[in-house]
Amino acid sequence: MFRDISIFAFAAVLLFIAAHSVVFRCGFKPLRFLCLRIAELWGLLLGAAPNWIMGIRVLAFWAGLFSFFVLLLTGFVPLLLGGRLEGVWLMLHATLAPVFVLCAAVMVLGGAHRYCFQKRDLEQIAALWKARKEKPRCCCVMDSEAAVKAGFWLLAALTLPLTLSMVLSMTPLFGTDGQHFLFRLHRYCALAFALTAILTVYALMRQKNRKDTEILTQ
Amino acid sequence: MTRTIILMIALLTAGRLSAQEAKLLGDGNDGNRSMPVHLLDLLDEDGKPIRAGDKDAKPFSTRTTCGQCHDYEAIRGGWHFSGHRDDVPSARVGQPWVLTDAATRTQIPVSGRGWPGTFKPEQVGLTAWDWVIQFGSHYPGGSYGEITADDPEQAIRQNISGKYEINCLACHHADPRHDASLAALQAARQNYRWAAAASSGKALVNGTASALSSFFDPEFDEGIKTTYLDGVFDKDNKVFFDIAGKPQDRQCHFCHSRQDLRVPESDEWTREWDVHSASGIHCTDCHKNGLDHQIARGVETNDPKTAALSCRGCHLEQSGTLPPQSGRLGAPQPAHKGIPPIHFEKMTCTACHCGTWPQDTAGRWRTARIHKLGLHGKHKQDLRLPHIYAPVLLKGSDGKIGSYAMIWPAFWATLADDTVTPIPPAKVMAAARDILSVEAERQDDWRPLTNEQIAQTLIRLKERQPDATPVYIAGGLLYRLDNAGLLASAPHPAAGAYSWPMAHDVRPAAQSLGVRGCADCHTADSPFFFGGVAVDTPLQGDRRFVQMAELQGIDRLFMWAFNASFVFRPMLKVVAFLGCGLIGLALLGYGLKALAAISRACAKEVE
Repeated sequence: MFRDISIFAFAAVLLFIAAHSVVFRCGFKPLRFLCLRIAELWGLLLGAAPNWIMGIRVLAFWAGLFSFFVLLLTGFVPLLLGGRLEGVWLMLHATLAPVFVLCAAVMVLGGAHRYCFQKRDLEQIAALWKARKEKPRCCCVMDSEAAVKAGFWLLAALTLPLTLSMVLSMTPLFGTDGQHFLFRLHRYCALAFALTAILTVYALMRQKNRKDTEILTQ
Repeated sequence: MTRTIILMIALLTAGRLSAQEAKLLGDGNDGNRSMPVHLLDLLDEDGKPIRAGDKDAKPFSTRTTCGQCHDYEAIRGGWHFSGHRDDVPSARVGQPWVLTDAATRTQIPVSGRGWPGTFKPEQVGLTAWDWVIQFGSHYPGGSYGEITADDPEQAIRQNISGKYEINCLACHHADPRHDASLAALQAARQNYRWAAAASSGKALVNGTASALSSFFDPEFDEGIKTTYLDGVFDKDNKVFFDIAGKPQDRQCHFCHSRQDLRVPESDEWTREWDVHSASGIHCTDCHKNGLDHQIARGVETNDPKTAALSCRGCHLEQSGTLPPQSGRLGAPQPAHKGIPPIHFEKMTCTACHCGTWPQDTAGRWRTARIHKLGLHGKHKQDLRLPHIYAPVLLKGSDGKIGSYAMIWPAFWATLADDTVTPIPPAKVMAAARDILSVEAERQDDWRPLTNEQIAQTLIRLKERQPDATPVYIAGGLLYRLDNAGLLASAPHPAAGAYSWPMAHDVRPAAQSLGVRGCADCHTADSPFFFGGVAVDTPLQGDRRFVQMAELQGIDRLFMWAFNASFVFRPMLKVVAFLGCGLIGLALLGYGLKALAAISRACAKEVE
């Protein structure tokens, strides 16, 4: 059941992104995007960050993103292949889970203020909506900062049940029925988190790409 | 047409009536739970009544005496009495009989049920007659005991000894004078015909069938004398039997006891009983049966009649079954707090709850049937061979890790097409007595065996059977002579250990694995995964161990790494709770801020 739901949900989200990126083109250049991000990270590692808090935030973002993808792969690939999370996959999953939680905490603390909804977010959505009439295939709500902010808060909220469902199952508080409930909760939260994260990263990439284009054209 | 239908109904009714008539007096059940008084005529094996004043009284026969009211033929199909039958399903593997011969360094698991890893009696050269001689001490009769001997010499002996009928009293006699050890003594004397009478406490039996000449004639020679005790017969020549419909535990225990040899005999009193027994639950409360005597073996099943007679059926709620089956006899439903459900998919209940708490190495155990425990008197034995190891935590045929007892086979055999056929110990001795009978101090209960002895014996066996390839199996290896005539050894499936589930000596929840947390099993040196099981062999200097993880089909390195990762488990929890706390605070703080903003916006709108 969960496997079928997961396959359907991932397929739907990926198809949506594919269709969206075709319909609402934003001039995305993958190679340029990748090079710029690597350069950013490299610069950060060489001490180019404006301050150490910024450095930690960016590092937490990349470490969190990496651990998220590893958790996504180890958590869902065995399941989608008809198996279950066990053995080396499980070890990898359990090893990176605390890294991910730690990074998530840093990102939420570091980004909460920045990702607060503002009045200008509404204005930006309105502006995008208007611009849609002039450039119908270039601008959409996904390109707004509000989309990324919504993703941020949703992910922050999902992190709690996602993490607690697994950590609480490691305590002698829940019996077999409780364990089953927590396991199901973890799975569905993980699915919701993964889908939200993919969509948020997509929105973030579009936003970053737009900024890259603006900077390079100036 | 109407006539035909009426005729058919009449025939069916007649058939039904005749079937009801055929049902014997004791085989019905009108629902009254009291036990009928068993005041019976004693009948001998020919069905003739036995009276108080009979001169040269014969022993009573359970087949004819109990058969007056119970369907003996139906009972013969029961689990205890059908071990020789191919038409009875072999079901889950169980404890085998073990053919042991110290001189030839032999221990072969034997079973007529065809369990993988065991040999059928005929494969090890045992006739039904031989089988009863070997294993008759802890045996309720029937099965091989009632097979007519084909061998003329054995047929003569069987004529003297009688058949070993099902000894109903072995299980159902509640009289405290019933002495199973005496039945074993009669079996040792080959007094099979007298076993039930002698052990019942109602008669004295003097004489030894095995000591009688094959030319013995009961009409003229003095043979075995049966003397019924005073007061056994009432004035109507009837005899009272104190019969228990549900056998008492002590009767089951005679054949189904186990002893942990790590506990000194003087400390045997410290050994705990199975928690069920200690709680007053009897063997037959779970191991039930009907007239067919197909005893429920505690195996999980979907059969509604026996579904509740397993650990899971009794203790765990089965969703969707109505009426509810679990909780029989007040069985508690375990919470299993903090234990991830994957454990219940990968392990049986017995893995955590049965036998003794796992130690660095599996201990040596003895069982009543294999080591002839419980005999007292002159025929008491103190057998140390064969070597049984327990509890061994391995993966069974159901794919789950459970608690098992294990024996490593050791025997001489011939090899053809990669199939091993044991050579009966008598034949081995006939070929190599002078090689194998060397006097030497026993090592670990075995008479030590050297590579030279194996090689010389194999040469002797080859001389006797030039077309065959003689081999010796021990310690998980198959020994044979290579083309150059040198002894070579290699693993072989037939040399693998035979194991059977241990489902008893259940420990209470507070003494089960996991009660102290994950570290009961998930440490880098936990006996559950890394406990050693001795690879038993009589070969000198060949002391090897196999780790439980190997028997569980788990990569040792992986398991070590997995268990080692549990060291960081507390850290993981701290980090996760800390992370969640920070995120929660941020959500709360900014959530309240958002609420305030909304409230402010609403207030402005109103203004």
